[in-house]
Amino acid sequence: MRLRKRAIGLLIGAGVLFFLGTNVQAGWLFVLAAMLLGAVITGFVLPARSTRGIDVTRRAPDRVHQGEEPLVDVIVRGGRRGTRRGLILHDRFLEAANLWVGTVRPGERVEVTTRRVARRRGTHAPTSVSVRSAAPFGVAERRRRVEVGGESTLVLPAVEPLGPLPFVQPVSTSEIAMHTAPRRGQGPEYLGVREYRPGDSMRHVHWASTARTGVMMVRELEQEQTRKLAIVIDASRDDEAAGEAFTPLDRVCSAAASIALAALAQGHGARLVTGSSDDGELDVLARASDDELLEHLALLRPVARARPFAAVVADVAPALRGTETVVLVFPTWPDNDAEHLAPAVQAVAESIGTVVAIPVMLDRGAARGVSSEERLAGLVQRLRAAGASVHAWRLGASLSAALGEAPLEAVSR
Amino acid sequence: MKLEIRASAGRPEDSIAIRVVVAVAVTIAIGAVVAQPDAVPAPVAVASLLLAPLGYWFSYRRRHASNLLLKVALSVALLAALGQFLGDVRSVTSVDQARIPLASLFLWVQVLHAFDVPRRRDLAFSMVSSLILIAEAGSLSLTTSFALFLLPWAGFAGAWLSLSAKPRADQVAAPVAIRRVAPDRRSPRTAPIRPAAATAGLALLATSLVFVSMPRLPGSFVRTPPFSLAGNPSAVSGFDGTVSNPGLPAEAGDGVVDFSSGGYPGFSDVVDLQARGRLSDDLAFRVRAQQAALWRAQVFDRFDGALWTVTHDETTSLTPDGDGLSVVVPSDIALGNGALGGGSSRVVQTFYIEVPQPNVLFAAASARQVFFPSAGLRVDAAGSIRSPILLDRGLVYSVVSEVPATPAPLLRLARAQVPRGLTPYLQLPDDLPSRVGDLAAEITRGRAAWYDRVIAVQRWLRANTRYDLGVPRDPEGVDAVDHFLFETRRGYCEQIASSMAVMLRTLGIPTRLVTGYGPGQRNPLTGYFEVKQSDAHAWVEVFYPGIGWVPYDPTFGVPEAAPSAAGRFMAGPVFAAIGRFMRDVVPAPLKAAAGEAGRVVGATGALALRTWPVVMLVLMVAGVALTLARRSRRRSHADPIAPGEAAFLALVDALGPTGHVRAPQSTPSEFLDELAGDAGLDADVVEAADLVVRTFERERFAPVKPSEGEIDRARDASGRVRHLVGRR
Repeated sequence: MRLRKRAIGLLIGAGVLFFLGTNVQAGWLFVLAAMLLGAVITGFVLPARSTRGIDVTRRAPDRVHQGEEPLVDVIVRGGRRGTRRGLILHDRFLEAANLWVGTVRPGERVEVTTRRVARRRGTHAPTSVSVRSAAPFGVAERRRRVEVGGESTLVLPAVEPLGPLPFVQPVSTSEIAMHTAPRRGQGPEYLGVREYRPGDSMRHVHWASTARTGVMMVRELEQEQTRKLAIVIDASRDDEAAGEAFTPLDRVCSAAASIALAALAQGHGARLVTGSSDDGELDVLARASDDELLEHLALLRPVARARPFAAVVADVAPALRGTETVVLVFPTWPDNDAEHLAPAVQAVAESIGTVVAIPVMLDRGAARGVSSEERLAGLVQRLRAAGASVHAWRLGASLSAALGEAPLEAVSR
Repeated sequence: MKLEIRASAGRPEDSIAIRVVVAVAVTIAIGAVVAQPDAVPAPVAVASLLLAPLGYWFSYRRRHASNLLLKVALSVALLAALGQFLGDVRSVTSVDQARIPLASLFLWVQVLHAFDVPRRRDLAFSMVSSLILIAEAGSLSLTTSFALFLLPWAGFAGAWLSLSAKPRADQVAAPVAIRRVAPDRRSPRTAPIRPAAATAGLALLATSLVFVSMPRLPGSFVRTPPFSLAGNPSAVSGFDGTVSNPGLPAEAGDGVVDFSSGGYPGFSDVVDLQARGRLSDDLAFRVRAQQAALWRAQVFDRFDGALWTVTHDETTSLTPDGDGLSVVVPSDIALGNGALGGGSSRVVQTFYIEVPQPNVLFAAASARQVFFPSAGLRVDAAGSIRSPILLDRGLVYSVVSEVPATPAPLLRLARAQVPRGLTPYLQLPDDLPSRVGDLAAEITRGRAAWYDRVIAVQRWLRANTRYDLGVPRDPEGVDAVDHFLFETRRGYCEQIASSMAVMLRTLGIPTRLVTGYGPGQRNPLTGYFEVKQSDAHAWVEVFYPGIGWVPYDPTFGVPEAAPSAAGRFMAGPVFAAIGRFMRDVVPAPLKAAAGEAGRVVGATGALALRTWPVVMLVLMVAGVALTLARRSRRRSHADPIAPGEAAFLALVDALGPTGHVRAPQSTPSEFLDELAGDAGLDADVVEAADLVVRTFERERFAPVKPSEGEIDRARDASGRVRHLVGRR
């Protein structure tokens, strides 16, 4: 139970009236003082009753994209006896919101529908709500936590329709039809194991299965023709303290999701490669459907003990054999500077046809007398020199605009 | 340079309800001040009552505007009001006199403020102002009729607290929709007002408990208490300190001045124990004081068997105090020559005269300082103060007294020796029968200290005599005290007090008879002691060497000079007032029955105290049984009707008036078939009924129960049927 400022005011008022009443012996001032104290006592007792026996459930869509404003229903039921008054629900589901429910009569059901902005990616479980009431006089507030029934909602990254990607070669319709399912071949992707057939390379023998089954088993690999596009994401860190609607990692995920879905829509295979922990492993998602891809990005969080993005890029080339285009999406963190990234990009460009860099620009202000734009210009110059085309995604601009405009030219200082 | 005008911080308050409530509360508070006599000049009263509501309406219309010019105009008007106040207050001579210009200033502030209250916070300031106004009115109000303002104000103040407790629109998420689904069972008609009534009841209970448990502490920091005339005073012609009592009737044929409804014969040169009659119950005056006291008027020292008179009736003028606002009673007169060696209690009293009184000032014992609206006050040797004007209705005066508060142990230690100069207070009638003295000696046998003897006589009188206004006049030639003590033992307070004074004089203890008014009844709401004409009274003062004159009232008792802690609370006066009210309204048979019931309860309580272990055991067993019974009842209620079944029952109930009464043996499906077979029934009704019945059957019989949404739809369908059938 929390006393509000109003209670303090009433208590002070009662004290002043009592003091004056004592000095001038005016009985009505004692009555007034008693009234103020009576209001405080009543306002202290009743809120506890109003917050008791409340049942809350919630209805919300199971999937939404970040930045969307889905409708969320909160259903409040009072108990069988006693009227609940002045109810306010503080619900942190998707977006923190105070909901005014007001009065709930015995047995009544109140459904409050609000729009919430899906601010953060990931799974939003049906969290509890804080039910509070200061009724009837607003002198004291009682808060109670109530567990809420309902399903969880998955917030996917924001997706911007991009249309044909300028940096990926179009695929014919027949090719799209053929590539709906993976084909066996000599690509790097592992499909499974099968019995040895004459003609199979001995390099593909799977010795562990052979030993277990007593029959010669070989690895079966996917044909590498669908490996057109790989998106390498810098998930090494994030910054939620900036207070912006989208964190840097949110924007990276949004860019990756938009590009991947555009590529899939055009019949290209798209792989997602995210940074790794210091054990050196890469996290590669291949042959994923739209939903799996979005779900993967929705749940993507900064990697613990992450390696620098430049190191990831430097090591990524062997894992992307057969890939025609590599898209590097990374925020312009200080350690993603030209000094570190340019050599890594050059190494990738030497083994893969097209390297596209999408620096997600952060508004970090000037550092050591160098503005963000000037730093970006330097980065662009070096990455271009390393063989990448660069599309910078500035804060407030759309991704399609960033991709649609001509690749940034280096700005000479 | 560019002048930038910024709107005040915070959103304007758009709620009309809050504004109306505040405007009404403020208007009531202004009305309460205006209604007090002489509180504010009439033009200010009329203007404020008209302009304040207008201001709130204007402010609502202009709540989104910056109102720069308005603010400037209001500031100028405020300065003008302040100037007027300073001009008025220059001529006042006391704080009390400053209240009229102060009230006017505050009303103007309130009115001007009403024109610019855009935000909720501004409205809160208005409510605080209205609280100050209502408090001012309360401090000026003398009567219970102030409740006519206070109760509605409290109601609106409560409504404001309630409305403003609701968060503003910008503090909560804007809802897309709010849907309220009423419970299945029909709510009683009183349902909407029940919560408000319960809140009001609880607030009233809490207020009452706080009120009765709130101590009334002494402590007046007001240096100049109120005093004022009421119109032209009635001067006493040829005033030389004598008492003038125009309310007294003319002498009867036997030379006795009897009581009249508005005239107490004790306020004159003599107190005649032969006088008979009744005083009216009209209010004589109100007294504002921190504690009860006997309001003393005159003192008589010589008794001749029938009459009390004053030996030395010379009076002296009272000299003004240094500030010129009051007069001081010399300490040798005020405190008696004992100088109150045992201590005293300072009591500030203000008297508001309601019915014309003689030119004697009433005051608690040992008046030291008098604030009176006329010069020329005189005092006699016993401290009785006389005025050159009569105490007319509306006259106000204040007195500061040092009420003797000597504890009994100190009184018991007083030397039993009559000081020189006090022998007149031992005077006895020459023909006083000796049996009076014998009786006194008998009552006080074995008691040496004066105090013990005084208490013994007083106790004997209380135990053996009866206050009775119906006694006939004494036979001619008898000693009134002797006749009272040995013949009637019934009489007026004058006979009882005279008997005590005379018996103590026979024992050699100096005494005198005092007339005045009893303390009256304290109005628990106004705090004033309301003294009626019939409270006119006579009592005794006893002199203790080294201490002074100490009052004793053998008829009703003397209020405590230094009330105990328990006596500081209002519970006593409140319950006394309730008791008086009940006494007046409850019929006699009911009162007798209540008295009998009270006696039974008292006897039961006494028995319970004697056998408390058994009582505790019984109570514990009863408590456990009650708890078990409640649990059992809850368990029986804990299996409520399932929601699907409730929807079905509501459906059956709704269709009953259409002639489709469900037979007890028919299943829900059969009932549905019957509905479907009725061609006259709306297809929507049948469809909705189908949904309800199917949901109910699934709830009752299916392994997978209907979801919450399906239950909700069934409820809605049931409600729709009621609506459709009702419309038809």
